[in-house]
Parts: sequence; C-alpha cells; structure tokens
Amino acid sequence: MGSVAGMDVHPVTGAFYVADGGGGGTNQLYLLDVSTGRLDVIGELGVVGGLAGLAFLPEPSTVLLLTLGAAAIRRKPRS
Amino acid sequence: MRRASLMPVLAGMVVLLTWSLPIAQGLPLYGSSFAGVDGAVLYEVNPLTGAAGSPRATCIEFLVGIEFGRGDVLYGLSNLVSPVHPNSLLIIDPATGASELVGATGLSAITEGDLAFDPTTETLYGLYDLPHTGERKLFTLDVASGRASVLPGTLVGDPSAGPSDWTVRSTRWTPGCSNC
Repeated sequence: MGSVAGMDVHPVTGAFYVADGGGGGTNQLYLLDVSTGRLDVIGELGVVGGLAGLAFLPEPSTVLLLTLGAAAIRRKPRS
Repeated sequence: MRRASLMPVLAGMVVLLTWSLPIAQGLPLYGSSFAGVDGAVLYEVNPLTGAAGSPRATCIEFLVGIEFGRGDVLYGLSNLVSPVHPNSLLIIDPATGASELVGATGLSAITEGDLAFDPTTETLYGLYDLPHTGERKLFTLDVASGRASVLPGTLVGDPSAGPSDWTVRSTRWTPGCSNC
C-alpha cells in the first residue's frame, strides 16, 4: 500500500473501511477483515494521490430517533 | 385497555426501526486527501463502489486525518509543515469543505497520524509518530482549545509502518495496515 491511508469503522455494521493512496498506493477503497488482516477491494477511489483520511458520519442518535418516533405516533390521526 | 394503549407505541417502534435501519446503513462516508492545490480536498466516498466525488477544498495543506466528534462535528488534524496552522486541530464543514482553526495542539512533530473519536467516552484521540524512531504517541484533544494531552507510554512498532490510519472501535484501538 501507499504512504498515506485512512481508516474508519462503519458505526452500525462494524465493518472496517481502508482507503489507500500516496506514493506507490493502489488508490482503492478496501474492506478490512480485522481478524485475519485480509483486505478485499471495493473499488477505485478515482482520486489523484488517494486519501489520507476516512470518516463515517455517525449514526443518528437514539434520542433523535426516539423523538422522531414519538412525534410520528402523536401526529397519527385518531379515528 | 392497557394492551390497547401499548399498540400505538409498538407500532411506532416498528416504524422507527423501519426508518432508522436504512438511514444507518447508508451513512455518508467522507474521505480527505493529504494535500492539493487549494489544500487537502474533502470527498464523499461511495462505500459500495469506492468512488470518491463532490470535491471540496479545505484550504488545509497537509491534512493527516479526519474524524467526526460529538455533535457530528468534523475535525481535521494538520501536520508540522502545514504552512498556516501547523500541528493544529481544525473544524471542517462537510457541506462546503470550509475549515476553521480550533487551536494549536502544542505538539511539534506531527508528520503522519490520524484522529479517532470514542463515542462511549466522547473523547477525541489523536496519534502521531516520532520521526525515524518507529515510536507513536497517543494523545487526547481538547475540542475547545485544540490542545493535546499526550497519554503516558509509547506505542512501539515497526519503524517502517506509519500510523496514518487508526480508529477506535468502542474502547479498543486498532492498528492500521499502511504497510501490510
């Protein structure tokens, strides 16, 4: 892999994603199996120089979802 | 009567799960380059294909890592030769790429490294290497001032392996594989 790389964990699935770049890099996005170290190619990043950082936007907070759910229930028209 | 009153709640929970699962599985993935003409570039990355698009200049030269922290704030860490704000913590607007300084970390030798956020403790961590020694230092970051507090001990590993890609999973640190 190259001289720069980024990694992050999917907040819900727990899957590890790795982006590779820099000198000698493959310029690809991978899924990493942390139990074996195996990298499986997802696809080309298409970015010159690759990526040095990766970050998932965190999952919506439980509180927010409960609030939305409660609001949906309260808005349900009564027959 | 009691059972009947619970029905809307249960129905709401089903609706909630139905809504939230696809939202959670389709969480946006952002990637950042190390450098660029107008500084490092922030991209949206398709986790299914790997394709990076929607480039947004951050105007941060030599950005070693990004991570979302508390309140979905996107942080970036610059390295020691970043001309405007070296060795600093910055905030990046994911929608536009615009960046603003939080503050200098107080560290002097960030070459490669990364950021990671532990949601269980709401702690933003950083990692950097000590050049030519193979030693890595782990530190916490004050998101109000940008100041770093180096944690005791040193992570010692293969000197040829850079610490450019670390992450936090719950409370467990996982080493990257930039030279695997």
